[in-house]
Formats: sequence, C-alpha cells, structure tokens
Amino acid sequence: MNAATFTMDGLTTPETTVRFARPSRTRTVEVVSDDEDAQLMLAYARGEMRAFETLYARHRGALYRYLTRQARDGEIANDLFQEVWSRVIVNRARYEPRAKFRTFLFTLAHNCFIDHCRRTKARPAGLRVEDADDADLLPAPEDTQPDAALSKDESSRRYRAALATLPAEQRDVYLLHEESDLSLEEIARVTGVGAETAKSRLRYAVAKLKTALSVAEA
Amino acid sequence: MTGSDDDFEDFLNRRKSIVRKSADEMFEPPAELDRVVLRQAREAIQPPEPMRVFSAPRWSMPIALAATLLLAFTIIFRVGMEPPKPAGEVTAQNVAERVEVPAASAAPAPMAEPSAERSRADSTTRRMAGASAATDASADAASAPAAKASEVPAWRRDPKSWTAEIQRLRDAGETARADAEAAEFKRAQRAYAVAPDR
Repeated sequence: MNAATFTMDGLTTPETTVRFARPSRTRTVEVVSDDEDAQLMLAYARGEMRAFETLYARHRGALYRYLTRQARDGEIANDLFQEVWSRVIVNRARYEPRAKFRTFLFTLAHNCFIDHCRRTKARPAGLRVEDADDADLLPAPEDTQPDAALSKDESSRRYRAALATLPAEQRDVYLLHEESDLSLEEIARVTGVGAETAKSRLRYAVAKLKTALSVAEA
Repeated sequence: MTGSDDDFEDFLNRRKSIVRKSADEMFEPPAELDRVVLRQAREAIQPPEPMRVFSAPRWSMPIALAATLLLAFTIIFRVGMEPPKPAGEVTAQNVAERVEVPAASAAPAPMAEPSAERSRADSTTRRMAGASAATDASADAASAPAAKASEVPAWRRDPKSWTAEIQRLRDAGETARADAEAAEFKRAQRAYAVAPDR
C-alpha cells in the first residue's frame, strides 16, 4: 500500500462531471490495484467512457509530473502528455493485461519522450545554463530561513536543478521510481534494461541528488 | 551493510524520500489538457456516423410516394376502362384478303381456285347477312351482282303487290308469265321460310 498526499480540490470540466484530485497535504489517496486498472482499460475498450474517466483520473497527475520533469518544458510536457494518452486510446483494442496498466502507461510515456528527443535531436540529459545558475544560487533550506514561502519555492527550484544535473538514464529511473510508484523490476521493464542495471542507475541517481542538495544547502 | 546502503534500501522501499515534496511539487495537468484528452477518448469510442452522399429534403419521400401511387392508379384506370377491341370477324373472305399469294410462284392452273373460293366466300357472306331480301334467296340471285337488285320490279318487293300482279297477268290472258311469276313467288316464299334467322 502506498500513500501520497493530495489536495481534494474538485475540478469540473464543462464536458464532463469528472472530479480530479488536486494536490493536498490533508488527504490520503489509496493507490488502487493495477488489476482494477486493467479491468477499467478493458471496459473502455468495450466502449465504456466512464471507465476511461476513472483511469485517467487515477494516473494523470503522476504521468504529467514524470513528463514535465523529464522534458523540463511545460509545452513539450503537454504535447507528450496528450500523445501518451492518444496512444492509450488508439491501442485500446490491442491492450492485453499481461502487465500492470501503470507499467503499460509509463512504457508509452518513456517511449514518447525518447521519440521526442530523437525528433528534436535534443539532448535528453544535461544541465541547462539556467538550472546550473539556479543551483549555484540556491539558498539555504527552508527550516533555516525566516520566510517559509520563499524557502519552499527555492527548495522546489533546487530540487529541479539537482534533477537536471543527472544523466538521462539515471533521471529516468529516478523519476519512474518517484512518480509512477513502479517496482524496480517494472522500471527495468519500462526502460528496457535489466533489474540490476536499473537498480544501479537508481543508486547513482540518489547519491548524486543527495550530494547536489547537500551542496546547495551548504 | 553501510549506512548509505540502508538509506538506499529505505528509499527503494519508499520508507524514506530524498526530498520533502511540497504541494507545489504535486502539480497536475491543466484543465484544458484534461478536456482535450477526454474529448479524444470519447470520440474514439463513438460509432462513426454513416456518410450520406446525397441528403434529400424531408418532404421528398412522401412526394415521391404520392407520385408513384398516382402514376400506378392512372395506368390501372386506363388499362381497365379501355373498351376491348372487337375481334375481327373470321371469315373466309377476310382470311383470303389477308393471305398474300406471291404472284411469281402462282401457276396458271390454280388461278381458278381463288376465284372459286372467292365465290364461296361471297355466298357465305350473303348467307350470314340473312334472307331479308327475298330476291337473294336463290343461288342465281346470290351470284348476281348487287346492281341487278335495283332492276327487280317494284311489285316483287311486296307479296301483296306481287300476287296482285300475278292476278292481273292472268286476267290479261298472259298465263305463261302469270305461271312463271307464281312459281318465282313460291320460290321466294320458300327461301324466306327456310332462311337461317327465321
């Protein structure tokens, strides 16, 4: 059982009455079983729109954060997010619940991001200048700052800058672990490497992040 | 096992996080993006509308039906009310008139045969016309042309005047003519009595 904190601000779209959960510190949302997700996907393949709405509400946040932190660009993240769900929709008839739906979804997201990098010939890894500058100028942790709000904002920026210093493979594994709640074996399957390789990449990523954050704090 | 290994295992088992995530770190996709994805998902499972090459106006169907019914009834009435054509009378003469005998192939000897058949047809026609005219009762009279009928004396057309004429001939001493007229009168009366329509 995994838990995350979310805000329960309802979002009602004009076209649907689906209410999506917004981040909050006050509500604990249970992560549902992936078998249920697979059943929802199969139900959507049979034409039940309500099943897709439920499925989408469950995974939209994690997927969006994964893509945003991978792409580090809001517009690109939006495009990739829409592309991933488009592939889910298009492949609904061919979907087979051989693995967890979450694994299927993040495999699509991983592949979409790789395709994007190939199309734009952009470096999937690397430190952007503004991120490096942000990292160098990061202030102290929030508990040492009098202004908590400013500290929170700066802490977030420092985290993003530390993520940007990671190589693409390590950042990918780390973000999959953090955002998708996949197991190490599932992350290895998504990224197409062995479980030991994935674990090694994750170990390096965690060590580098700790170092970057501690340097920034210092 | 070192302390860093323990920390990593805790991280792997999600018992410990590297950073303390704030609510700002739990951002979500914008509402517009939600609408786009959900609309796409909804449209994907909607059955495609059948393409209509020609969309006729709504009133065309009843108009077409009424026109079809009107045409059908018109045809039925015209066919039903039309009087039947009288079938042509089948007579030897009609048949003979319609049969075309090639002139080239006709031999001189059989030439008499059509004339004989023609005379038989004439006699049949006259016989079927009835014995209204007493002068046509005899075979000679039947073969005589119609123009000769106008030369028959007027007193022969009425039995009373005919018998009066016979009596006058007898009174005048013309016994032979009176006997001939009397015999002719009797023949005409017999022909009238045995006529088919009597």
